[in-house]
Amino acid sequence: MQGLLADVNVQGHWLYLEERLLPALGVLPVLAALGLRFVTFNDLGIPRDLNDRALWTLSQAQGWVLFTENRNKDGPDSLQQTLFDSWREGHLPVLTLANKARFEYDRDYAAKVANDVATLLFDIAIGQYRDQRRIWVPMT
Amino acid sequence: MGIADNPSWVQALDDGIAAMRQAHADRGWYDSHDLINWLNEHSNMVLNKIIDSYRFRRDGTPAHDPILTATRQIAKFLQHHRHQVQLRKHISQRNAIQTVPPRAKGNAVVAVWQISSVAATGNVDGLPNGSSVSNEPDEPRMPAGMIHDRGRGPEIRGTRITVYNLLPHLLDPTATEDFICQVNRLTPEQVAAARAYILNNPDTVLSQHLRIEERMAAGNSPQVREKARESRATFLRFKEWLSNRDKEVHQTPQATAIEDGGGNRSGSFPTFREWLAEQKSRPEERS
Repeated sequence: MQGLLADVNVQGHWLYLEERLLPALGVLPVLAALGLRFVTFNDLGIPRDLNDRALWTLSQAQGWVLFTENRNKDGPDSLQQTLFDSWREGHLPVLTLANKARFEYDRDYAAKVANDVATLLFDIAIGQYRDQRRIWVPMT
Repeated sequence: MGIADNPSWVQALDDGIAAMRQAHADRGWYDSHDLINWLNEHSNMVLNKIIDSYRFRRDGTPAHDPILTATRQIAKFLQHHRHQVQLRKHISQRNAIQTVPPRAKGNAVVAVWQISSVAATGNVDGLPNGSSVSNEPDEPRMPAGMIHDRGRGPEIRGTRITVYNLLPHLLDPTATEDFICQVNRLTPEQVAAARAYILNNPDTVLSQHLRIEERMAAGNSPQVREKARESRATFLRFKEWLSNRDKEVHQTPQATAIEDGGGNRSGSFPTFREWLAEQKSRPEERS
């Protein structure tokens, strides 16, 4: 596992999380200790309009945990359908931001998201949560 | 507590619906027994729990046919929480389901559900009795050029941003045009196209938006929520250990941290395996 790949629909939010929240919460050293990286579509040269199925396949093949917001229909190549027909135990789960709007204005909620993302990355890196297709953050 | 209140049941049913859509796309419909049989095969434990929850009436007396009650409750869930369109009812043969006590095979009246992608194209020849009732809204009107649909819903061309991504912002009176453009990396023209699409197709967009909200509200399964607490405890132990280790390194004159060009001390951190080894050697510190 290499780290976390931020989807286009949460790219701006991820930047805030990476630059402000994670350092403020003091969790970056933990993720750095595991050698985890945070990347965007731009960093990996991924087209901004890649479809869900291709994106999921790419992130699994390259070892990235996808961080996304799931606001789309469940068409044949949707993430929901891809997780249903292609996911097998052992794959990396997808992390889905449960409430993007609340993340934008609720400081405590945003901190909870950041803490949960850090915790999940830590656990996924050591082999946990490979029995989950998708995990919503915050988790509780 | 109903089916919709139990995330693991909802997840199993969502998986079942997706399987039905895929397996029966050609004929354009599935019935409740198709779904029940799929659950029996793929999520037997969940199905049994659903059935078990209907084994007794509210007055405590045994239910006559908990499987049939469960089937009807699942049908209600499909209709009210997953907005499945019921075409009609028909008689279907029920397979024996592995519950205790097992229920014999027999016929029952069950709902027939439309698979909308097939119905939308008018290919409904496989419907029972030739019925072709469609409650689907009119085909959405799509502004030429900037909005297209690749199966994820109306989406801004050249991006992965759907109108459903933007809808919460467009409904928020405090979200300015600049903010929406900046946070989503879109041009004002792209945002305007999304807004126009929503205003031209309010019923379709709102209906899908509510489904998305409902899916998100279901959240994680109880197992994941329970595991989250354990994960957090492990994470915090590691973080504390790392912090103490870091302090020790700084207090030891011989210790040297390796710094890269950006000033990041990549050498001052242990690997997870080192941490695990130390944890194992100090079992008394673990709760």
